[in-house]
Amino acid sequence: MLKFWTSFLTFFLVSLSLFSQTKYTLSGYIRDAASGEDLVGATVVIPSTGAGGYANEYGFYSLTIPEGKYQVEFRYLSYETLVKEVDLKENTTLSVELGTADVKIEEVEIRAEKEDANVTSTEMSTVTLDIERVKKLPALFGEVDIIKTIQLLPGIQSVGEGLSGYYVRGGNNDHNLILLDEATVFNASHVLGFFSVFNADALKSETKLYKGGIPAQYGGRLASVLDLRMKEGNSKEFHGSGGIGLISSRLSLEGPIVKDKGSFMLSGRRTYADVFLLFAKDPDLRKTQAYFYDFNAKANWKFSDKDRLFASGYFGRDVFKFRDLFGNDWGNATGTLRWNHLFSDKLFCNTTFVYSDFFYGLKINFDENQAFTYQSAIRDMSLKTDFSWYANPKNKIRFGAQATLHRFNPGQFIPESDTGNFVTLAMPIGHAVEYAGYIGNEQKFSPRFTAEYGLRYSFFDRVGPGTVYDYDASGETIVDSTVYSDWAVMKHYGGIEPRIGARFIVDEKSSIKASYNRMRQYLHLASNSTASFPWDLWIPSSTYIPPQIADQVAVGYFRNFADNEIEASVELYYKWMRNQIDFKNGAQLLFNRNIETELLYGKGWAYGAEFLVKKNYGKLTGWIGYTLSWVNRQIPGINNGQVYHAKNDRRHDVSIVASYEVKPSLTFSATWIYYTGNAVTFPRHRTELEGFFVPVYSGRNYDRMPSFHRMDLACDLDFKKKKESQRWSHGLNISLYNVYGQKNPFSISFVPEDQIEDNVKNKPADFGQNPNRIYAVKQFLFRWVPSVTWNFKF
Amino acid sequence: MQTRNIFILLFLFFGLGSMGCEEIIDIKLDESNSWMTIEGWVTTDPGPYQIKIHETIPIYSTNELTPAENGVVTITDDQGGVDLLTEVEPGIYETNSTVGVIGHRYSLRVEFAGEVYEASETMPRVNPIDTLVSFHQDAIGFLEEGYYVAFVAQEPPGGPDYYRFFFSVNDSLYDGLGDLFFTDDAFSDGQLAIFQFPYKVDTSDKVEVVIQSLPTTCYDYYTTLQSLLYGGGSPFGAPPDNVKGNITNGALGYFGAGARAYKSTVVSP
Repeated sequence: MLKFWTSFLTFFLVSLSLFSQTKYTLSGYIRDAASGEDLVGATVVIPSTGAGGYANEYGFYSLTIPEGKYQVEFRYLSYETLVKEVDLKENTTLSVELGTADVKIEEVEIRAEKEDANVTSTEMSTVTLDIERVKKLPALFGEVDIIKTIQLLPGIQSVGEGLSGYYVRGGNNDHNLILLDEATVFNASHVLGFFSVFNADALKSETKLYKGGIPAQYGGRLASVLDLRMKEGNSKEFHGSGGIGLISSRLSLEGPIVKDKGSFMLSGRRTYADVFLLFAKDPDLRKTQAYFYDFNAKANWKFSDKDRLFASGYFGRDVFKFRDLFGNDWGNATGTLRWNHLFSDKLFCNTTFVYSDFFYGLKINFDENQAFTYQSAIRDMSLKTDFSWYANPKNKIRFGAQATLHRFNPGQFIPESDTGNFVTLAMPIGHAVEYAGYIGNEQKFSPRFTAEYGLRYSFFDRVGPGTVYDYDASGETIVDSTVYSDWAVMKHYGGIEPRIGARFIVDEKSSIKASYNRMRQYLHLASNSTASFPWDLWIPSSTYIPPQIADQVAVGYFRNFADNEIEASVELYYKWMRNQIDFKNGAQLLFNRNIETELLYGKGWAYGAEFLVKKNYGKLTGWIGYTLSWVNRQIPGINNGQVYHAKNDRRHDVSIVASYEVKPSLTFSATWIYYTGNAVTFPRHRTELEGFFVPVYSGRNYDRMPSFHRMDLACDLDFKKKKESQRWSHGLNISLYNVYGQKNPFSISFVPEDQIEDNVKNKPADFGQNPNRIYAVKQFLFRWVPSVTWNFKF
Repeated sequence: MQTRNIFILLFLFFGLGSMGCEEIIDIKLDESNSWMTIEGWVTTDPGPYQIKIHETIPIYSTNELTPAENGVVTITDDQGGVDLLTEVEPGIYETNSTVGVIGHRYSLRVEFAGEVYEASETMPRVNPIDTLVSFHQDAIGFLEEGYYVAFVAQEPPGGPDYYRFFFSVNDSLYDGLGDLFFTDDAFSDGQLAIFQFPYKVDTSDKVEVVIQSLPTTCYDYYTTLQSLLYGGGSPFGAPPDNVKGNITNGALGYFGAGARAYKSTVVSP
């Protein structure tokens, strides 16, 4: 391994030392002209030389080029391209502001050059969405949900109708890293998964999801990284926005603390259906509370051109109370403190402290003897630092390190009184530390060939206090145990994670890209349902639970048409997953000190092809995506160790998203999706046990749900302003979910005739003649869900 | 979790009633082999005890289960007792000499169609029910106002112990889907345990309650059985699997040994 590192570093240094003519650095920030928001991923290009780069997560760019006069172009999707004349005789700072079509910027020449990043960027297997466009698309109950829109892109699949959990390229729901301002969000959904916790008003316009070719700075999950960032807040003027929808209301405020020096953003959302329960006839319903809310806050301060501080936080809860008998709440809390420092115009550094916590609480109070509280939680505290070193025109190096302390509370059951029916049951709190270091380089080998290569090394220590049990050959009977003191390492895991991506430009319009990455995952969600529950526990790798490992290769062909107005791509991928976890029949996952005895391990592999055609410009925008994929698993203990289809093995997946802008104030949009049903386990036989009808299964995932399809429509309308200068503006978003009322099954169960209720439809003519007869009954959730949301801005 | 509960939850959160619906559909399923089903208990009740042996039938079949006739069924115990069971009805076999005693180990052996199926369990302990009380109660929790019955029993310390509770009113046993009550003693180890049945009763009803001890393997068996009774297939449920009890050679069902404690009362105002 050491030899590998040495040659890797030598390669680095050699490639750095090749350049030594007189060069100067052009650097600065790229921001939005109206709000001062950093434009993440905006590109800077010098067409005459082909040199270029892009703004990092904080809007910073840096280019090192020979002295001379240049026309420098700054581009960003849905913004007008800005061209600046630069006479480079020394290191120069040039910060620019880009405007959208309606924000005119004087004194500069603007060209209608269109973004060609689809072809030129080394990135592949990534999905980028513009929140402003997402807001115009149809949404269930009118709740704009970035995650549900991401599910409409190839390679990303919803776990079920209306649910915000997702699978990426054959991965599991818990294989997705979801970051909000770099803080891990452990459970990104409300109401058992029907809404994501991300309030679109609080997010920066660009959202990125990596499903492959994952850069070395990310790690910890197998399948994907969703990197969400909160808005900084308008640094020029005070503004507000909000809306009243079918189920929730929102309000966001943002503005400068001191103009162009610092800004803040506050954003909140709360559902209010339970307010109407106050008027219910049933006195029990009147005392029922059921709501969720999200609160986001962020502030930043520019101390100088070299130093900037950001503080941001999220707090969200689901609350469910039935009279004073039953109370349930759960949610995430995250906090991020970031410090950007420019060591030089070539070396950018960001240091972050992150706090993230997910809490689940339950309180039952039937009477004094039957009252208890239950809590479980996971908490992370991390310190990380990331450097971007714009070494020379051909090499951009990123390196950094991070350390995370995980704290697991696997469940505390505490009775209200000592004399009641219950005894205290406290699962031991666990700790683990996770470290990672990485270095990566984006190197331009020639104008046509660029490669991004990096290495990440991560390791994980499950630390004391704790007890490790020894089991006999059956793996279930404890024969001995070892007790570890505070911070003693109970188990160590670690390994290298190579990340490689390469792009070869075939011609102006097309390129070929390839990537390979390895990912390691040390935390596992102990959930044996498809959708996840808030009470599901995250369990750390330990003596008996090895980390999950995935290797993925992908190749793609990227081509733009009609002067970059239309982007198209085809990607092929193959992914190998090791140490995949499954659960024994009837596994007990809560209150189990020996959870390792309930687990089964095996391997999984997934492969497929993803096709995407996307139109970003003009009156008609949108995309058509198609995925052809296979997902297999093989786990000793399931289906006699034979290969079987994973639940998310969906052969075909089609999505069409189209928006038509009739005029700037009126947009119609439609989405249509189709996918092969999940692989499921249906009974083939029946028996009777304890006097009950019992279904008998032949094997896991031998059957299929019917295929799923649905069309949604939306109309987004802005009301006319009285005067052009008026700040107040408002509009309506009208959505119709499931336009043609398709009864897509959410679940299918097999029910004896005498247990079928009266309201079940589609009964055959001879229904009622044989109480023993079994019927397949499908449950479907949403047909024709209309919604109206009123939005405003000032 | 059942889809129906999801409807309720969505209703509470969003006031969206009558959104979900259920409908019978036609799902074609491939044929598969049949499975043996074996069920029976030795308890502290006086014998004879029955062992029921059947073969499963295709899911959409409207026939009765196929009885396994002319099998050779024996129960032996660790005291040297050997009992060859008699087939009293097709597929139903009865003991002749077996007596259920706490702490004794019972072994079942079934020979049918050239295959052998075996299981054995030791009968676990049970404490007597100290008191069985009926009382009037205002609406509490999810229960309506009315008369209810609760028992009090001293749970023996140590364990783990597992129990099933039976409830009958006027000699009619509650045996519906929701009436399978079983528990471990994780929350009540060594305590004076109180269990209130969620059934509203009337005054002058005769109520009988039984606590039956369960072998450890039975707790897992009932857990999977219960998850199947409510139908799998929801994205919120675990992938369904067959209810494999303690019987070898892939047979479904369970052979158990359990001690029973009885108490009855007449509901008085």
